[in-house]
Amino acid sequence: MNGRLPSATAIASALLVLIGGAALYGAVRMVIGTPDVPDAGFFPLLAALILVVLAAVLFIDQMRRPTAASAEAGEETAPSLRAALPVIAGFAAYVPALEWLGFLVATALLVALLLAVFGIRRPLPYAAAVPLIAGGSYLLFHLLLGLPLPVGPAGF
Amino acid sequence: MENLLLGFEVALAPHNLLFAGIGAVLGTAIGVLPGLGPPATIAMLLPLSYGMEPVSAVILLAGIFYGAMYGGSITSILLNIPGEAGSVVTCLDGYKMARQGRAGAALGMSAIASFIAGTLSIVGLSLLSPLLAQFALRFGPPEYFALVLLGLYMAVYLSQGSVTKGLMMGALGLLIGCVGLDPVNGVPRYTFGLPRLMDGFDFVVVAMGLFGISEVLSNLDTPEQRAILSAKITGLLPNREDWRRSYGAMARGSLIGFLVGVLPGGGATISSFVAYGVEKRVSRNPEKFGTGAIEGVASPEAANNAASTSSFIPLLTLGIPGNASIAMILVALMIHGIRPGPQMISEHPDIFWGVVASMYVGNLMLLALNLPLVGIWVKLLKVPYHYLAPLIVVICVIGAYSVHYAVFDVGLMMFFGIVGYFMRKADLPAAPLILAMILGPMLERSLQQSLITSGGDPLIFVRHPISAVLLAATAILIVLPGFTLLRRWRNAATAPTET
Repeated sequence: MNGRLPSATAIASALLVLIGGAALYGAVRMVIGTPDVPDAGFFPLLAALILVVLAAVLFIDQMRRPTAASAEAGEETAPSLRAALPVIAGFAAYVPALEWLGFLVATALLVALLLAVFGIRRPLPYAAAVPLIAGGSYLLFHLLLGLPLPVGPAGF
Repeated sequence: MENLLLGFEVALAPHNLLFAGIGAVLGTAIGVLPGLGPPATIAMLLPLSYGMEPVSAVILLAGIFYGAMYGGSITSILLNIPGEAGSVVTCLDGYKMARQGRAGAALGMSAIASFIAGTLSIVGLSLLSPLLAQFALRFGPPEYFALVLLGLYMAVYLSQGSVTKGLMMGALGLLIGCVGLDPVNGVPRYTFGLPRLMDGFDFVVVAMGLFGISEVLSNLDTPEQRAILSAKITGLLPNREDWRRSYGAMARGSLIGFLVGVLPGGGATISSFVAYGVEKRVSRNPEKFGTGAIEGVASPEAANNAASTSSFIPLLTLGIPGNASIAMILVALMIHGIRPGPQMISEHPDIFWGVVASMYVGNLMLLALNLPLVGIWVKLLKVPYHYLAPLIVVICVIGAYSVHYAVFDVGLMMFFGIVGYFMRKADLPAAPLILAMILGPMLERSLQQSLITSGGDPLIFVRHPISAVLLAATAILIVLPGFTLLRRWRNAATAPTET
C-alpha cells in the first residue's frame, strides 16, 4: 500500500465481495459434483470463495486504518476522475458509433476527443492530427493490409 | 550443441532476423517512451502475429520484451524517469552521472552491462532448460496443480504491492477464466445467455484493455513533465576506471538477475533492486552509491536484462509464465496451437532453440544499434504523449476488432480498459489477474484429474513428493504475510488513540 487512494481500495474490495458473492451464487446454481467427481460448478465455487474471503479481509483491513489517509486520498480522487470521465464516456459512445458510423468516422471523432482531452490547443496540429491518425490507420490496416474494419452508411 | 545450431539456423533466416530486429528496436522505443509498457505493446501486437509462423511471432514479441529493458534505462539516465519498472534503480546513479556530464558513459555502461548479462543469461537458459524440462516430464496432474498454485502465488508474492490485493486479483482472474464452456463437461458458465461469451473472454482483448487502454486513461492523471538533457551526449565507451569498477558488479548483477528471473514473479524489477542492494553492501565505498557511481548503473542493468531472459525458462520448460509480458508470449504460442511445457524441447525444437538463438542475435543487435542510435531515442523522447495516446487507442481498437472481427470485442476491451483504470486507482495489480486467467484452465483441469484419479482424496497432493514440496513452499509463503497482517491489527488495537 503506497498511501494512494485507500478509500478507492475500500470501495473496490466491497465491490469485489459483491462480485464474489454473485459468482458464488452462480456456482451453487451449477452442478458442483462431489470431490471424487467434480463438476462444472466445483472450480468456480472455490475461486469465488477465495475472492469473497480475500476481498472481505481487505475491506476490514481498510476500515480499521486511520481515516485521515482516506480523506487525504479522497481529495486527490475528484480532479483525476474529472480528467478521465470524458474519455470514459467517449469510449462508451465509440462502441455503438463504430457499428453505426463505421471505423473511419467513429475513430476520427474519438481521436478528436482524445487530442482535446490530452490538451492540444493549437488548431493546426489538432486539425492535422485527427485525419493523420484516423485516416492513416485506416489506410495502413484496411487499404494496404486488407484488414476488414467496420463499415458505416457511407461505405467506410 | 546440435540443437543450438538448429536454433541459429532458424534465427538467422532472413525473415526471423528481420523480426528480431523489429522487436528489439520496437522494444527499445517502448522502453524509452514512458507510459507504454511491454505487456501493453505485446498485447497490442498479438493480433499481428496471427498470420506469422509461431517461431517468428515469439521472436518478435521476445525482442520487444528484452529490448524494453535496454530502452527503459535511457529515460532513467537522461530524464530520471524510468521507462520500465525494471529501470527504476538505474535512476539513482545514472541520472546523477548524466548531471555530472557523464551521460554517455552511463548509457554505454548500461548497454554493455545489459548485453553481457543478457548473453550470460541465455547461456544459462540453454543449459538449464533441457534439464528442467527432463525433470518436469515426471509431473502428473497433482504436480502440475501444485506448480501452478506456487507459480501464481509467487507471482503475487514477489510483485510489488499488497499480497492480499494480488491474491484477490488472482481469484478474480480465475473466475474470469471460468466464463464460457466448462473445459471438462462443456457446460456454459457465467455466459448470461450471450452466445458471444460461450468461448469465454479472449486473453488478447482483456490484456489490451487492462494494459493498453487503462494506461492511456491513467496518463490523464499525470501531466507530462520531461526535462530532457539538452547537452550533447559524448563518450559512450566507458574508460578503464569505469571498467575496473564495473566488471564485478556486472557479474554479480547477472547472476542475481538470472536466479531471480527464473522464479515466477521474480522479474526485472526485483532483480535490479536486489542487485543494487547487494552491490552497495559489498562495495568498499557504499557512500558513493546514489551520487553517480557507475557500478550503481552496471549492476541493476545487468540484473534486469539477465532476469528478462531467464524468465523464459519457466515458460518454455514448464508452461508457466512468471509475469504479464511472458504470459502474453504464452498466449501467442497458444494462438498457434502450441502449449509450452516439458515436451516443447522435443516436440518443437525449432521453436525452442530458434527463440533461444534469436535472443543471442537480438542482444547483439541491441548493442550494435542502441549506442549509435542514442540521438534518435532522445528525439523520440520529445514526441508529446498527447499524440501517442490516440495512436495507442486506435491500435488497440484495431487489434481487438481483428480477433473475431467483432465490435463486441472492442466493447469488451474498452470495458476492461475502464476496469483496469479503476484498478490502478485502487492499487489493484492487473498482472495476477491476467496470469490467473491464463493459468486457470490448467489449474482446474489438473485439480479435477487429480481428484478423479484419487477418488476424491485430497491427500493425493501430499502423497506425491514433488507436489508435497511445492505445496509446502506455497503454504509457507501464504502464512508469512498472514502473520504480518495479524501483527498490524494487534498493534492498531493496542496503540493509544490520538486526540
